[in-house]
Amino acid sequence: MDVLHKIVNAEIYKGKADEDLVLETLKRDDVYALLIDRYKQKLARYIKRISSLSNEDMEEILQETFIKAYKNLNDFDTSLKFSSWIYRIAHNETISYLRKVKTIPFSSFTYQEENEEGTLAEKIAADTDIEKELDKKIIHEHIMEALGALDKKYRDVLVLRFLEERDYEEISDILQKPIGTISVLIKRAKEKFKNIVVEKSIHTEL
Amino acid sequence: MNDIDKNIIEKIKSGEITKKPKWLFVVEHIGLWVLLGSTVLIGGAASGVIFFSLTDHDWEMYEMVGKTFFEFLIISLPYFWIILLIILSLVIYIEFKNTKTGYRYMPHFIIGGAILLSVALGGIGHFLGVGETVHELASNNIPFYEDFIYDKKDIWSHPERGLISGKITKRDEGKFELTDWNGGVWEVYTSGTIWNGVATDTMNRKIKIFGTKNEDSTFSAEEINDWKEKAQRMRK
Repeated sequence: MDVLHKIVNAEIYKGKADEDLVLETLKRDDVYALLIDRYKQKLARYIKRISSLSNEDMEEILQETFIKAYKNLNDFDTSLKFSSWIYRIAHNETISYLRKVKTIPFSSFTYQEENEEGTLAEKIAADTDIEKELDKKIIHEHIMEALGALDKKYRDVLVLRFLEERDYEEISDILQKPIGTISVLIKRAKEKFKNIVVEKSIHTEL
Repeated sequence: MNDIDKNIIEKIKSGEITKKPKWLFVVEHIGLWVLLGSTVLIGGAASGVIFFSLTDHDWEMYEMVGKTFFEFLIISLPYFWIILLIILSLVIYIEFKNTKTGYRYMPHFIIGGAILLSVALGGIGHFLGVGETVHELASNNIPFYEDFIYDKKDIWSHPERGLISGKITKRDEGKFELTDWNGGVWEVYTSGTIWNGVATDTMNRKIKIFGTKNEDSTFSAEEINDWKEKAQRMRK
């Protein structure tokens, strides 16, 4: 926050939309600190959610994300939301990082339970009516494993939809896929998630 | 993580990180669209040659070259251009996807659109004679191109079956000299020959001939057709 305090009249920018701050940053570089401040926590959490990397690795990706966004600020398409654009960069940087280090096989992904704004498990379970079919207690025993067992493409859309609470158009802009494809991916992701949870519960009962 | 904004702003101020200039992105986007437009035009040209190949072909000649219609169809399709059109459609898909909002469209929509646009351009191009010109250019300049194409020249290059074609290179009383597509020279006798349509024995005229191959390089013409007209067989 020190940097923010050094920005002359930082207060006047507080109520401004992200897209306006981008335009201001093009005139005056230090305004970029406001955008970083708005998004560093959100993106840090998002990177962790899709990669389960260590804090150190996550911070490296986060820094690269903001640097890349700054370098390409003149290419920002004002028809997009800034949040979609910066999430897209964070997503791509995370994928590149994972490819580079090759140390996190997605099959062994372990999802960290959220403590805030409801768990992903609860949100997906509510959306797929699993609770009606299985005992809630059993669901929670297997929910983390189920998320870890999902293909990355399905996990990504579930995270964006249910944790980041992005709408279909935003998810389309972040993952750079058509809305129709996003819709199909979310539908399949929910089905697969449900099947994995049900299967794991049956195995446990046996 | 709390220092991330400080670190980045310091890097910006020290000039370690700089914004890429706007013109660079403008040039990049224009370049991509130019590339995309050029690919569509090449696709149109490929499509134009397909139109030309299909309409210029003497489809009724299948029996004369000893084939069933199905066999004739299979060997006559312009595979070179069909494959090129498919490859170009995929290239258009990749290029379009890389435009700013290209990812918003479904792949089948982009590929289908690319093919439809190429076919539309090809239709116009064919009408303007572009298909034939490109076909001739390819015949003269692309090595092995002729090996991939079974066209009218192949049909009318069967002297043993009574079919020859080429250009009239010398005229004489009751006969003329014909240079075929491979450079072979024929002495063609025209006693009692039927000249169909606009076919005449003017110099350099391209013609196709039904007749009988004699010994050596002589040929007795029964019916002669202009190269561009549909072949007629008046005499049964």
